[in-house]
Amino acid sequence: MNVACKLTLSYALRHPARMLLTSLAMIASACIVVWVVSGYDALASQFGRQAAEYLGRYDFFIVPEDPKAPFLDMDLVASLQKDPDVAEVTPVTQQPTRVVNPNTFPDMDDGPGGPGRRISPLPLGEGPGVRAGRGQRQSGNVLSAHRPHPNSLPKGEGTGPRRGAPAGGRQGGRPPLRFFVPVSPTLVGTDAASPPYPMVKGTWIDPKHPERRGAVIGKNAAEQLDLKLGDEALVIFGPKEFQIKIAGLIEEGPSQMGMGRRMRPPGSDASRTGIEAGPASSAIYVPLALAKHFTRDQAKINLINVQLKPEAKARTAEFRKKWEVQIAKARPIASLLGVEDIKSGMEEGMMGSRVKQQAWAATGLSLLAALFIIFTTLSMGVTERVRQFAVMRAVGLTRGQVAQVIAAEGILLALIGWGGGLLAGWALLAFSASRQPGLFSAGATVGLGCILFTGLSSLGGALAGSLLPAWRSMSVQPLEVLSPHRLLRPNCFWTVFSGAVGLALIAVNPILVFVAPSSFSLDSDNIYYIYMAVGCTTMAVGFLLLTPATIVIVERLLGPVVAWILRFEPRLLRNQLGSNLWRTLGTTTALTVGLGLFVSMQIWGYSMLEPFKPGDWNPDVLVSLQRGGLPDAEIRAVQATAGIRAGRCIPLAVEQPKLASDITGSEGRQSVIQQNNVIMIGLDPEAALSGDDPLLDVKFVEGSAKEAIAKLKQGRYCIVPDHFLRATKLKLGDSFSLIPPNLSPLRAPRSGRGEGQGVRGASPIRTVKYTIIGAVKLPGWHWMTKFSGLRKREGRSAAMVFANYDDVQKDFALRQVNFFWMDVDPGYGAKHMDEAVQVARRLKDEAKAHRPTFGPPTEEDKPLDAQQAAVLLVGDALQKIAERHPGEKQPVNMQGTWTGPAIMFGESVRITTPEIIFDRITGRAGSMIWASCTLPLVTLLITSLGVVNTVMASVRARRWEFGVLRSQGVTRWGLFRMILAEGLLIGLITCVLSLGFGVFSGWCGTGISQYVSFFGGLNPPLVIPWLPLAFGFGLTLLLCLAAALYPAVATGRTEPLRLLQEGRAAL
Amino acid sequence: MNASCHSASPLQIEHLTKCFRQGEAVIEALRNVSLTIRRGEFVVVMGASGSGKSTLLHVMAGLTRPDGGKVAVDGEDLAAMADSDLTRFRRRRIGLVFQAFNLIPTLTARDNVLLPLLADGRGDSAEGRLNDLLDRLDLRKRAAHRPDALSGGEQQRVAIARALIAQPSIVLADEPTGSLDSVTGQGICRLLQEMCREQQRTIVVVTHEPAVAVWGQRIVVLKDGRVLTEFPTAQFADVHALAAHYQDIVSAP
Repeated sequence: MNVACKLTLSYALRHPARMLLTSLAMIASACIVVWVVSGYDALASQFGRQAAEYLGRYDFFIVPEDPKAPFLDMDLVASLQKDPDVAEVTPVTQQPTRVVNPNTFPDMDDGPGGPGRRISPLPLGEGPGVRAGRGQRQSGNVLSAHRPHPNSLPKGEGTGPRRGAPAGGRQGGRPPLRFFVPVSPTLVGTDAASPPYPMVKGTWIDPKHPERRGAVIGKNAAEQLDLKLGDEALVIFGPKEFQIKIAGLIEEGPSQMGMGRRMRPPGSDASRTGIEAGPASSAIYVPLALAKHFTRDQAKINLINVQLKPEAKARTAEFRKKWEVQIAKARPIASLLGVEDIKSGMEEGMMGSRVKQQAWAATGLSLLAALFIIFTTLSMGVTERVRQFAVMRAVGLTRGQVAQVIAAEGILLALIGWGGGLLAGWALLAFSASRQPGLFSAGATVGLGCILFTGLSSLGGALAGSLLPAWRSMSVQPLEVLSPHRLLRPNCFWTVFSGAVGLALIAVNPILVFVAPSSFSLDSDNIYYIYMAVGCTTMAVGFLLLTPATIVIVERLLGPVVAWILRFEPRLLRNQLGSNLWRTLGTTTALTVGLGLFVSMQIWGYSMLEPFKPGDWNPDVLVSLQRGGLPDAEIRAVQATAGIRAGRCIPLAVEQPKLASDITGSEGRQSVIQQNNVIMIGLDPEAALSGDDPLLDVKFVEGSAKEAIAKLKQGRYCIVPDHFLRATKLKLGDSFSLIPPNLSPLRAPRSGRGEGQGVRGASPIRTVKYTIIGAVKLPGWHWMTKFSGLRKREGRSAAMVFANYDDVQKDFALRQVNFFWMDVDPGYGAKHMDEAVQVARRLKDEAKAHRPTFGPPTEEDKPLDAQQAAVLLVGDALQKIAERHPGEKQPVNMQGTWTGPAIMFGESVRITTPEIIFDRITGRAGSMIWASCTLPLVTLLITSLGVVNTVMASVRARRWEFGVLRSQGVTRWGLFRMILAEGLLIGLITCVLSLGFGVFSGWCGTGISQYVSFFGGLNPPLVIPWLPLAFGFGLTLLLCLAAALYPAVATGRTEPLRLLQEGRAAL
Repeated sequence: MNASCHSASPLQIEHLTKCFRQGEAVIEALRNVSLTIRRGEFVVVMGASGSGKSTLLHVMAGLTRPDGGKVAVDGEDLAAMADSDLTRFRRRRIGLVFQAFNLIPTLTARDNVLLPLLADGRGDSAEGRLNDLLDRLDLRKRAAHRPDALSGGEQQRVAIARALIAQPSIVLADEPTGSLDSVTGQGICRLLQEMCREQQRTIVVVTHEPAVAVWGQRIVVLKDGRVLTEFPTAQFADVHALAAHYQDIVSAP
């Protein structure tokens, strides 16, 4: 047997406890990888099947590759049809559209022609016309059965029955289609004779009879829209709507979302190319002629499906080779895609890449854990065996052979970790799957990914962890055989030097993140790559270099404190860790991998959260009336409501218009500050901003309240959040334009406002311009608008913008009041607490009857405070006012209808308070932050096994010393405390290092997030969440104490004589 | 390589110097030492503490390099060898015995003995020789035991067996009885003497004990890093006479 193997095996057998602990740590570390990577394996195993499902009955599809020419050459169709291997070539057009179910809304029952009305099929070629409105017979060509959106058609184009709609009233009984963001399946025009996927119900479209308006819809889209066979639906394309009839439901292919190489911003108008342009999963199929008509012939062919003959299926590779080149030469540029392309697209796509990222993250962490576990174990071995290595060198082992001994030990541990981790991971997955079958949505498989990733983490960690110990063992001189046991006392110069270099390296990352981007005008991609490649590396190496100094400093400063707490002589603890620098360094670094990441995640998470927490600028209550609205005459009634503080209630005019140009850069990248719209809040500037205690207590970072009030009164000025200026690069005095929403059901001019024609009939590109007069800090505006109903048109917005009430009302043709900001009087709540409790109970009962959850203030087990009582009483009173003015549902984003983050009074009044939002956001964000901390905490647990090893080694190395102490009168209990203190000191060093690492990496993380994260751009402050951190530190100290417990007990129980004998016997 | 292949003196030392630095101070451990040891000779190097005798042994073993002069084993200059060559040379030509035994605690006695051959990739080629040695040193029954289960005398016998297993040209022993009681120590000395006589081994023992020195054929006395004198042991009737003579030499101004 090779000498290195013999020595390795003999060493492993001689130290079974150490090997067992290290092996367990390695196995646990590999087990994490199996747990995470099994998800990727399971997903990857589905890709093949899903790719075939995605293609449906076809074998290939051809898609455009040039975003500037997103359609296909029709000559390709003709050429392909001539190929003897081809059974079918189907040209297809796919266009984004919106579909709504008119029967979903009760308002549809108003007037004749409500739900259930049927429109007769009409022959093609009949005269132009529009879809019949309620109470009118439909006439004209069904292909012309569109109805222009009010206010959006050029003059002269028919608007059908809308023309006669009474101002301000129900619009001719037309369904209020735009209450919710409609479901958006892709409109697929095809003349295929049979469906691409299996039919669920009904029949496939008849391409020969487009006039029947028969459509086939994906079953999931149908479920979402509550559409059944035979139902009518409205397809919205641009400003027009078209009726179709559901002739069939079809299975849907796997989602395209996972396949794109990069995420396209939702709603992006940019053309899809490559694999993204493949068959739509959520689709509504219509004959090609019908699709072309809907789109006014804009729908060109952008997909060609190809099916091979059965006898040619075995020759798909040859077919592909034959046509690939030919198709690539086509103009516009196109590409031929088959199962393998889709499979690789899925692997590279969102879902695959996200799971792959998780797999890499787990592997990285596991690798680091393995690295330091092995480093610690081997370092201990080298330190203990200096004389052995010297003997080996003296009797003739070369340096290489000595290094081989260390390397072989590392590889042995890695192999145990690899094999054991795979076995343990497999057992864990099997056990978990049997106990909780729903735990793994995509399945859990120990596949090739698991084997490779665990191997990478185990062997990579072992290799890296063995390098330094191997080098140290090689440096042992034969003469050291005659030296007494060598203590590696910290060399002062090198400790200081290494610490200084470490600090310098640590400073690199903040400079790169916070200084370099502005100084060198770097783009966000470059900033991110530099941060990852240079910043993170230098920071990690910097902290590693700083570790020896930290060990020495903490030992000197906190050692006496620990000794004092545990009541023993501090000199007995002096230099114990510093003298065994390598193993202490390995252990503390291993623990810091877990704890440091935990601290970093917590600091990053809570710092990023800070700008989203509702700030003090918010008034007490935001009221939204989600049905109908109040006429101006009722404003005073609201303001006079008991419980509202006098003079502290203002109506708001709210709209969410699109920006006329992409000043936020949302087309390039979307984020919380880069969106294509803003939320305009019209308010009375004097009532909102003036005085020492303004209702809207915003802090101006540019401009002043006084100046802003004056300008806002003049009209067409606005106040924006500070981040809006950063995102748009606008300055005070600059202007931006907005497009009044052209789909608002509130388009009709307000009676009695003297606004003339309103925006009906206006051009859809009409814009309104506002000039910025001030910039304010608005922490938490995102979540305040998210759940309150202020987001009327879009799910996200770039900013909350304050303008004059009259300007907003006029520019966006708002006819009624739907929002109020107000402060409530807690004194009133205290005085009428009993009534408030009654209101709370009533709301609770209503919530039980209608909704599964309800807002926090009404929970019975939570006593109401005076403020909450006032809110409830005010809400109750406003409900009565609102019910006097019933009306249509108001447009709102989906979260604006959720019950949890607001209190609903009846069907209309929705009250949002900063407190409720605060609870909501901190609860949700907190759970997300903790979820992301799971992996670091598991790593911490695993690496704590290394502490047991270190303390055991330290104890073994000092058995003679302990024997002497015992013989000189130190009690068992005293010895026990000394050893515990050592474990505690390791924990303290880890905490100090982790805090430093966490603060810097968390801080830099928030910095880089401003450039690359969806949630970036708000310049969050550095927040150190001490409570969660205390949990992490406490856990670490407990683990270290627990790790020291066994060695402490075992040593304490050993007789002094045995300690002396064993100590002398040790080399 | 077998020692019998070499006709030259197994150990030739010429004008050897070796210095150590201790802070600013330079200590000359060996000063112009010259020495020739013949094949099959049992030489004892004596001297007081700090006389340089251990340093001389370390230089002879190639454990450290001289600052000047030449050390030739079997005619090959150790100072001229690269580290790897020196290691291989030491593995095959030099046997070392330490005062503190220095066995590998994780290996059995048998494997400890075989260690130089294992390092040379010849672990399985010396079964006969190993058994002979174990029998000769009365270790057969203890072969499967680890060092911590052996007595001091047994550990030192294992160390001697390890030094002999590769059939080196020369065996260097540094205070081989220093950690042993007198009876066991005498047994070890007898063993070394028998090796020398029966197998024509060249043995160099460093000691300050006359009771050990008396087993040798020639004694070299070092003082302050120089060879003070050398004389054969045969002229002394017993160890007391040798001790008195040695004392006279060392005490002389």
